[in-house]
Amino acid sequence: MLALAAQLATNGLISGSLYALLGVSWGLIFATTKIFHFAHALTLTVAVYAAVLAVGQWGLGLPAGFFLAALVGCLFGVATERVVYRPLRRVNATSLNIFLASLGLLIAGESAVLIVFGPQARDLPGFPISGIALGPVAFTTVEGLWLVGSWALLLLLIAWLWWTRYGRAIRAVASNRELAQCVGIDPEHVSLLVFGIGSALVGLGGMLLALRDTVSPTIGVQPVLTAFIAVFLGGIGSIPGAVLGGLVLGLAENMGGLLLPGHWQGVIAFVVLFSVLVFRPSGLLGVRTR
Amino acid sequence: MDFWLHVVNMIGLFIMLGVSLNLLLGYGGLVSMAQAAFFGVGAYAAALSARDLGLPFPLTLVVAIVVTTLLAGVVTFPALRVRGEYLILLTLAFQMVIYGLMLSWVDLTAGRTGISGIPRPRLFGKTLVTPAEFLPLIAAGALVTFAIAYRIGESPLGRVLKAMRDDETATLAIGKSVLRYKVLVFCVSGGLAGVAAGLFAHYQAFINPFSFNLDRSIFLVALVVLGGTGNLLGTVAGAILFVGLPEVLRFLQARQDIVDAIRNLVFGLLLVLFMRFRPEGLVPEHARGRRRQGVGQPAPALSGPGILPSAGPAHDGAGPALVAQGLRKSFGGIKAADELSLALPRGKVTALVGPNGAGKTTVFNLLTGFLAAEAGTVALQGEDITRLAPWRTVRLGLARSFQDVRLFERMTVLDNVLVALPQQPGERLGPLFFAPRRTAEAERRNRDQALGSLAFVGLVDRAGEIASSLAFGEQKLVALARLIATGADVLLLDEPSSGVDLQWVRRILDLIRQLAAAGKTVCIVEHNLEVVTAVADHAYFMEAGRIIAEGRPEELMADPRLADIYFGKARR
Amino acid sequence: MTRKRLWVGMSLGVMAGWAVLAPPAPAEAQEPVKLGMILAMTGPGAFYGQVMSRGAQLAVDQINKAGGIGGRRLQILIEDHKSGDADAAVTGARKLLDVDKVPVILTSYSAPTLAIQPLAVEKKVLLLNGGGVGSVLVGKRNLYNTRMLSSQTAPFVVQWAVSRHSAKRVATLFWNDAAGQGVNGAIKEACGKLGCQVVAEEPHDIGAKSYSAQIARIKAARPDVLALGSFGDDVGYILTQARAYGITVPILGVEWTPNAQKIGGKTMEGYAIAVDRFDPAAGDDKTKAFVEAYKAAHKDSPEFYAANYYEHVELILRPLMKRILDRGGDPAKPGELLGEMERALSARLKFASVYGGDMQIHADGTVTKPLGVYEVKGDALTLIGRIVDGKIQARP
Repeated sequence: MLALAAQLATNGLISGSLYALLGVSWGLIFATTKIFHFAHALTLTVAVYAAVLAVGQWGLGLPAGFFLAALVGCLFGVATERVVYRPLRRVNATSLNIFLASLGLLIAGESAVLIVFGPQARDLPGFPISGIALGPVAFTTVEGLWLVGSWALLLLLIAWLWWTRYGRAIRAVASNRELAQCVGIDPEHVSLLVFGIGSALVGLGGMLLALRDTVSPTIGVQPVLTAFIAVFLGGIGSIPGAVLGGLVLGLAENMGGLLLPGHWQGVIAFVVLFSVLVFRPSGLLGVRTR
Repeated sequence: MDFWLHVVNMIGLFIMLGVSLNLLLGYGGLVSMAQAAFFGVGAYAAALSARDLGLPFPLTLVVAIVVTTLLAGVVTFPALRVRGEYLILLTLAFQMVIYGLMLSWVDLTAGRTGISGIPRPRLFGKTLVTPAEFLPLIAAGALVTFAIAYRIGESPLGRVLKAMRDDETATLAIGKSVLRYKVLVFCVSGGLAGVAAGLFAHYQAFINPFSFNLDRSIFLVALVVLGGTGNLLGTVAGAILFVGLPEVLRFLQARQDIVDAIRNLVFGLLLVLFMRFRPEGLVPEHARGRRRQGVGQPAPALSGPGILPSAGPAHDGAGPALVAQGLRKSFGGIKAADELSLALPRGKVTALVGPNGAGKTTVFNLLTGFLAAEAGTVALQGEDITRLAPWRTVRLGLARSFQDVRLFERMTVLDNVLVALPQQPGERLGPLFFAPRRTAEAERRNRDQALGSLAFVGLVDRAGEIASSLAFGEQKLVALARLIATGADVLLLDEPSSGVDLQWVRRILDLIRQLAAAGKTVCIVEHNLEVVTAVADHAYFMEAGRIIAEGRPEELMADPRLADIYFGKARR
Repeated sequence: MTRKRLWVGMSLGVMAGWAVLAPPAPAEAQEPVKLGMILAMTGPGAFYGQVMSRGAQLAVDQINKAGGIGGRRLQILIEDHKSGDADAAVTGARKLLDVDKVPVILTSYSAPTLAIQPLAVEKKVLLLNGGGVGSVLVGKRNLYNTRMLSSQTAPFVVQWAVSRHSAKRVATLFWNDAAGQGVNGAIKEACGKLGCQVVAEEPHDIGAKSYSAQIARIKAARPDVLALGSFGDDVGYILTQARAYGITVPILGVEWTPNAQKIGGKTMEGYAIAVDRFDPAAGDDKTKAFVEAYKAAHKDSPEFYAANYYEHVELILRPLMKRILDRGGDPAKPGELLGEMERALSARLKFASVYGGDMQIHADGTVTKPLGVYEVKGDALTLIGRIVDGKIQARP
């Protein structure tokens, strides 16, 4: 029983780290721009398909694939902001309408990917999967990469947000958009910046996922739903919150395996979200933003 | 032919679902990503009661309706405290949990495999099997659900829902319980979805979780929004277009694997484009031909105190209308109200003056119950109302307006006033469906009352226009008319003259004087000292949560100490 | 009338007009016999739809090139059930049945097949399934499964576990649907008879790709063997992860696909299955001809999904249609193919199988094909035991 718990806890920490990365990638955008960017799922999909194309068909190496995913993700996210969201803001669209536009973009985008690339699932080749055992617990090399990769990116991001000028500007806008304008920060530029960073991060997160799962046009939806849960669990407006939320979520999903069969994991995740929204909407580390 | 009849049947089912969601989303302003989950729960309820309990057709339909209504009612409670994105996510989480249960609770639902062999209904001695045979039943179902939703939507009840959608706080301030209406609209929405669910289960004779997933919920929301929220005909158009038209694409004989993708691509693009260029949808809420409540018949000759309705029991003139004793309220370390006591003399105008941040609006919030006091009491006409919810105090005769006006922006001016009238039978389901004549008569009387209020403030000719299209000054007058319509005897006006130029100020002051002359007790929060002197009989001076002086306005103006506080050491 | 109403009205008019005036079928001397197919063309199972349609289309192309059957050509019409959506299956079936008036539908997946079966009964249409294996597919009118069901093959998995590996403790990991649960149920029953104990039963979502929770629980139960009730690519992912997480006991199952082999790579070594196996390298002339033709058209070697649907057209429908034509009937008429199938079965007609030899189709809709136990040795399946009279005869 102890061995099982240890294994499940390990699984939980590993997936939790990836959830943290995904959560932060979305939470950064939401906290700063207040846009419920559902089409973040499309960014993930497009970024990963670009890498699949590069690695699978053009024969570039896996590292090049990662780089491309980040780049394509970044550009796509920024394009979404400029082409879809900004015009909507100009006509004072309600947040429901912006949400629906984001949804429409996701639906249209996924279909476009399906038409262009076909519905068959594809693989991201090039990463050997073998097992690593540490005493009673074991995990795969891919999961090891998840752990290392996610934390590397997270720590980099947090350091950047806290100690650089641009990072501080982002936090200022997230905290109080109007006030930030008064001290000379252009919120529109900051919006583009967070869309770029968040989208690059989700592209990388998608790549980590694609190393284990197959790639299909709908690959983006489940991870982004997980990101929502991580962010709301941790408290919107708080980057450390999103990280904590991701970890707690990963642990909850997997530790549930002590009691429930494994296929209930998905249900657990959403029960967690439901409970958070009802009992503690501000989340674990909630920051009250205007 | 059967194929096309099948398509018509599916359109009918989606009309039912769309209409149920439109009531919730378009009229009530409650965005739900879980309509497919309700649909699914109803379908499983019908299927399981048919298979395991052996219930025959009409009973299984009843089971479906009851189950979905109850479930919807239950979901209301967690949904009460959340707005906007939180509500979207909450309902999304609920949808995913229900879907997960359908998939994983295999003992009950047979999971992915689904429930097959659901018995066909027998009606009037005939077993319904083919689409042609089902068509009359489904058409009847669609008609009935449409009629119910229409009756609710276009009634005083629908009016309250729309008000709630536009501004919940203002809805409380006109004496309507937001909680009750939310539960009601959720339950009705669930029940109507249950009708579709029961019919669907028997029509397909087979159900599995796939039909009730997140994609379906999203599709329903999009269908309602693209068709036009707040307009049920729009939902019909949406169902025909988005359910029927794609079936035509089937015949294009294109690559089979991408026909669906093409349809989704078009659908998604339409969503984006509509949100940018036509957010009101295909058939907007106030489409031409629906503004029958235009100015139409002129109001009867109205002026003078006789036309102002009075709510609550009549009161004779003894003692102050409203008394507050020792009110206390802090936010963190800040004392917003500190042992605050005041009394509003009947039939007179009292002013609450003081510098910004003194806590004047907080006082209003405490008096009306929008804020809960930590200590102290409030008595209205001698009765303790300290712990009452805001909407209840309105019913007892105390109402307030807002600094930022808070009209119901998407409703007409007349509707804004109409919705504030108390005790409308059309706001309750019972009279609405079972006493239509009484409801219609009451509505006629109320309409006259509302026009009367509008006449009082001089805006009868704007009755048919959408509130958001009015100038700010006119909006303030409409808000005043709305306040009067509540029939409250004690009126708290928060900065009635701010933000408008002189001609409006004069009009508003004149109206305030008329109100007082008609026996209403008025209290105004004001910054403009000329206004205070012009209209108030009595004034309180507040600073930092305490009342530090009271008396006739002229006296207070003359006090140099108060002038210092107010103006910050400058001279007048 | 507002412009929007006009627009809506016009769209409706166009739709109605199109429906009424839909282009009639090209005037031919004789209409082709239309074969309907309802497959997973999109969604996670899109692979199956692709290969199944390829198999059937290959047979149709061959037949048409040779001038048809008794001069009647064939035509395939495909509808998509999106990897298991019963609604889509029903709508697709309605179109095939009402508009195209097909006399036969080749279907796949358990849930969509179940959903359209009542429609097939209503319209007197023959249903052939070569993909789904759920035990719920047994004994349904009009439905004939040309693949052995999980309840038929799974007991041999247990037999093998007990006889070869002396297993006392069996863990199962299976698809969370009728097919997987069918395997699990059959395994439990077989264990009851053969004296082993099922120590862990772990369902998983189809296409889940991550089984860490299930594998952790299975490990904790310390089984002697792990029996899989999973299909398609999932097998490859399961093997990879199971081995990576440290499950060292033998793993057995009921399905193997070349794609799963590719995914699992080295970890597939030693995986053993009990199946009605289609071996492109074995069989007889029919098998060879099919494999060569398929390779010529698609470059890949066919696996049994493609084979089953090729078999439907070439080795079941073709002989049935010939019999109908020989007695002067019209195979495109509803009820003819169905009736002929029922007649053939009561006459105990044997159908040839592209697997090699014959297959026996039973009246309850099940089929018997040569069963064997196979093991993965160095990237390919090797026969290690034949099943004769319900017992496994191990090859030395």
